[in-house]
Order: sequence, then C-alpha cells, then structure tokens
Amino acid sequence: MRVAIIGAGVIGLSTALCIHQQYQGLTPSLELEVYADRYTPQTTSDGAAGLWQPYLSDHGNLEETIWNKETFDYLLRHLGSAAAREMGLFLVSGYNLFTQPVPDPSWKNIVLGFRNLTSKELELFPGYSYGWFNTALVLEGRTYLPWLTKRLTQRGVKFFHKKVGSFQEVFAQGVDVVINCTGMRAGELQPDPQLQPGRGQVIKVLAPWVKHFIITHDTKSGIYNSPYIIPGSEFTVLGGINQLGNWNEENSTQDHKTIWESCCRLLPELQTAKVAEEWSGLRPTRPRVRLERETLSHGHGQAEVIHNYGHGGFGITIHWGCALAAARLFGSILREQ
Amino acid sequence: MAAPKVAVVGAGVIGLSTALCITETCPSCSLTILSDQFSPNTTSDVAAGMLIPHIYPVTPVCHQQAGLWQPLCLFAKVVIAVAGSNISLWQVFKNTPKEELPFWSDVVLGFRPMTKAELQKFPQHQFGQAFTTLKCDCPPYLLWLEKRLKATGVQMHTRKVADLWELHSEYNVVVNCAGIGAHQLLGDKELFPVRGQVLKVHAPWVKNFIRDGDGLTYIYPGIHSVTLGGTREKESWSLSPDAGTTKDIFDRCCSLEPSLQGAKEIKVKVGLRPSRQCVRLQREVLSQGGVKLLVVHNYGHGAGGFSVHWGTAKEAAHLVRECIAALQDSSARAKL
Repeated sequence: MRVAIIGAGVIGLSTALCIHQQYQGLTPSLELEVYADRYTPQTTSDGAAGLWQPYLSDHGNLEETIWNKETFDYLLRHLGSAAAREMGLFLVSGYNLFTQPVPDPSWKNIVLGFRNLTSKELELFPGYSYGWFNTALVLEGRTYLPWLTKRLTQRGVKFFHKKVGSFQEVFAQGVDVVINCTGMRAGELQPDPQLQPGRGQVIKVLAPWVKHFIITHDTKSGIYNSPYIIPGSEFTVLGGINQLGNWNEENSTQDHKTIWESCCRLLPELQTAKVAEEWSGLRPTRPRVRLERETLSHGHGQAEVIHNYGHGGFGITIHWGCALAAARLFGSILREQ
Repeated sequence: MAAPKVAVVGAGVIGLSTALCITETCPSCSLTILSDQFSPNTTSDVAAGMLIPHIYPVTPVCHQQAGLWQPLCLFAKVVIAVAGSNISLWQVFKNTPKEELPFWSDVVLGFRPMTKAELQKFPQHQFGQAFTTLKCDCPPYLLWLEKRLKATGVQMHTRKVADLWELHSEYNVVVNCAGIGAHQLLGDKELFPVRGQVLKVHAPWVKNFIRDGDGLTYIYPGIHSVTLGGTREKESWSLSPDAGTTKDIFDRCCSLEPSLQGAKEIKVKVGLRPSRQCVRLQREVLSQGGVKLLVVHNYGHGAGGFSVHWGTAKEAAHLVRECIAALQDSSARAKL
C-alpha cells in the first residue's frame, strides 16, 4: 500500500509520522513517500514563531478546539523528556492584551494557569485595560521539522523533491492514497475559493531579556494585525501583520516600519535590539480546516485523498490533533480495503 | 564648611546604589568609593539578582525593614531597561507551607497558587505558588551603576580598607557597605557568611523560573545565562568551587527542569552571603582623642541584598544627610 503525502511543512511531516506510527505495524506493506517542492527551512512552518495559541474564538468549530487540546497535551507530555530540546519545544508564559473586556477563549482550560491580569500588571502596558496571563508552549518550526524528518527517515519514509502537478499524476505512478497537506497552495491541486492567504511578516531580533510572549489584540484590525512579541530559543519574533488576499512573499518596508514602531511602543527596550532576520509568509487561511476524505475517480477505479490543509495562523497549535484525525481517516480507508 | 567628603567602602550592589542615592540627597558632597573588589569580582556578581522579599527572616525588628523592597518595585522599570527582565512562574513546595498568603504576595505581580495541572509537572511537590517578579543580571547592572556614578564625578579607587578609622583624616563621613568584609573590618560577631555555590549555564530556551520552597534548588533565567542553585552553608568561608556540589546542584535542577540536561558552558561561581539577624542600617560615631568620624553602616543583607538594595540605599543616604547636617551644625557652632 503506497501512500503519498504532498507537502513537507508541519502538517505534512506530522501527519506522515502519525500514520506511520499507528499503521506500520498493522500493514507491513505500508510505504510512505513525501513529495514537496519546499522543505525545511523554506516552508511556512519554518518562519512562524511557533507559539501554541489558537485564535480567540473557534467560531463553533468544536473539532478544532479538540484538536488544539490534543496537540497541547501531546506536546506537554514531551516537555519532560530528552526529546523536548531536539524538537525545539519549551514552556513559555505571557500576556494577551486588550483595550476592553472580552469573553474567555475556548482554550482557557487547555493552557496552564490561565487568569485575568491584575491592575498592577496592566500598568506595564499603557493603553491596554484588560488581559490574560497563561503558560503555553513554543514549538520552533526550524527545529521541529528537522526532528520530524529524522524520525521519518529512521522509519524508512522516502522524500522526493518534486512539485506535484495534480493528484492524477501521483495516482498514475501507482500510489493508493494521497494525503494533501499542501497548505497555502492547495488551490493549485484543486480549486478552493475558501482558501486565501493571510500574509504575515516578522522581524527576528536579538533580545534575550524578553522572557514572556505579548500578544495584543485590536478587534477592529483583526487577528495578528496588532503587535506581538514572542521569545524564541535564539531570537525574539516581532510581528503583527495579517493581510488577507495578499500573495506577496517579499518583505515590505512599510510593514517593517509598522511592526518595528508598534512593538517598540509596547516594549521600549526593543529599540536597542539588533535585527537578525526578516521573513514573510502566507498563512493558509480558511473559515475552517479542511480535514476530510475525498474519493476521486482514477482510470477504471477510485483513489482516495485525505485533505488536511487550511490551518491559518494556528498550524503548529493544531497540528497533532489534525494528524491524529487524518490517521483515523486513513484507518477507515484501510478497513474498507 | 567646605564640601563634605564622603567615602563609601564597598562596590557591590549595596555600595554602588548607596553612593548613587547619596549623590541625589547630598549633591554638594565630594564622594569617593573605596573597595578592594569591583565588578565582576564582588559578591553581587555571583547573585542571581531576584526580587523575592521572603528571603528575609521576619523577626519583629526586621519587620521595620519590611517595606525596604518597595523602592525597588518602583525602580524596576529602570532596572529592566538596563539589565533585567520580569520573569514568571513557579515556587514549589514538598510540604504545604503554613501561610496560604505570604506577606509578600502583593509585592510581586499576579500572585496565585499553582493549579493542579501545573503541579503535575512536579510529582514530588504538593503545593506551589505562581508569580512574576524582577530578575536583574548583576554584572551589567553594577557596570551601569558605576557609569552613572562616574558621570556625576564620583571617584572610585581600588583600596583595601583595614580599619574604618584609617579614613578619619581624609573623610568626614564613611558609609560602610563592606558586606561580608565587615566581619574583618569591624569584628562584627553577628555577621557570618552563608556560602552559596551556583552554576551559570547556557540554556536560552528556559524562560521561566522554578524555585523549590526550601530555598536550596532554583533555576533563574537571566539575559545571557541561567543561574542554577544552590547551597546555603552557614559559617563556610570557602570561595573555591566544589565539584561534588556542582554535580549535586545540576542534578537537583535537572529533576525540576529535565531540559537542563542539554545545558552548555557550565560556569561555577561562589559567593558568601553577608548574613545577619537584620541588616545593620544605622549611624555610629567613632572618636579617638577628640577627633570624630561619622559612620553610616549599611551591611548584612544576607540572601536578600538585591531585593532590598534600593530601599536600604535610600535609607542610608538619608542617614548620611543627617550626618552632614550634624557636621554643619557643629561647624557653625564652633564659629560662634
């Protein structure tokens, strides 16, 4: 049974690992192959800061809240292990800031120690009158993707540097099941008007004194269009750009200015921080994650596709729950055969 | 009288901050700092630099000193801009402490008990507290204090003062911030060292502090290194690192934070906490043969030096101003 995973970002690699872990023993003839034209460190996942935090509201997508929780719990279990460092995983605490009271988020009981900010704490952030404090995790894509790759290589999964033109092309080579983890460019394999880019830009600086994440929110400008600061193991990530519909992957000087000025207003000490890198990427934004089976006709028979894309700005946050769900769909395919 | 000559003995965090406060309360003074050690070789350089008020023994006498960390809270923004961070997280206890709400709970930010989910990370501990407080990297902080002082014209000299009286002919007021050095300088029998060995390691992924309520095991992330501790050895004067202790500290910290196994560039440091029942913060008049030397003592901060330094510095500067007023008073009377 040949299975092709298209896409080698956090979704593609983790889905591949999850399927292999669960089914290799049951299906000895299972052959997994990964096809992608971009590998770490060139994927969208590599640019992200890697903070585990869902959007403020799940808009009724309860499944997504469950997948987020499964991911958090999975990562938390790994925190005490030797693997944590190799995965790029560590604990981090911090602040979500608002200019007015807001309802508690869907994830308040998933993270550790969620609480409202005291008035003394709010004094640290002039201009903000309400907020939360909690402990969450950072999973750095640039370290996690190589770790996933290593695990997959050890298991005999093959990697191909190749841009896939169509599902048919892959089926024609004898692949039985395709797992579509193409993220932003899923529309090139199958048009999806619901999928659009949420362009982000980040500045990575050397600011080792920053120990907390700070995410500000502005209901008018929308999620991630308000400054945020996320400490990494080496650099601190400054961001606050989310432009729906913008496909440009080049860094913009105007956006640099916006990010820099707004983050320095939030944390004035950042003015002395040295800029190490700048990066732009496209969040594969969709009203909900597309995680479902599709049966396509191929030649005289049928072929199976499992879609797993459209994770917006919460791919790392939700990845393992989605990998488990995709693996369950794969299991149902196996049972039918 | 001519500009009063004030000498501050000691260039750790107490000496330097006291000197800075004196430049503000007594701008007409001529101020000199005398010390046999300057940063990076002071006790303060070894310290983690955490603001945790409860490190003090709370005796009735010391309660007067209870508010001494408040000035640092107000000064925190400056410290952070220069050489520090706010850091958060956890103090864990193997046995639940008597007090649910310690007296310092509103000095730190966001104080609350740890949740059950958080305590799951510490199977050997039954109870915990979560809060956010200030952590300063002492070496750059001391350098910044020195820079500020030099900018106001304060002189600094490397000199081992053997006896405070030896300064009587050069200075009108001596401020004794000698820390553990006061043991030899004054023969203060109430002052004793509590030896602390710490490791400073490279582990930049550690963003939160963890401290065991017994005060012996702690992990404090600083700007460029994480301080792992520690020991509290009463009456030990040894400044040499002990290899067995190093391994013990490392093991204890790894059991609280397993990822520390990957820590690199382990440096070992030793400091002697200048411990006393209470900080000695008072005036004294030394006199020999009709000659007087006014002294202000500011030493014996034990494990809480960083926490209370700014408060004691302000208080000491206030006492220096009183001394100068007394000198000017007696000088005026002498002219009558």
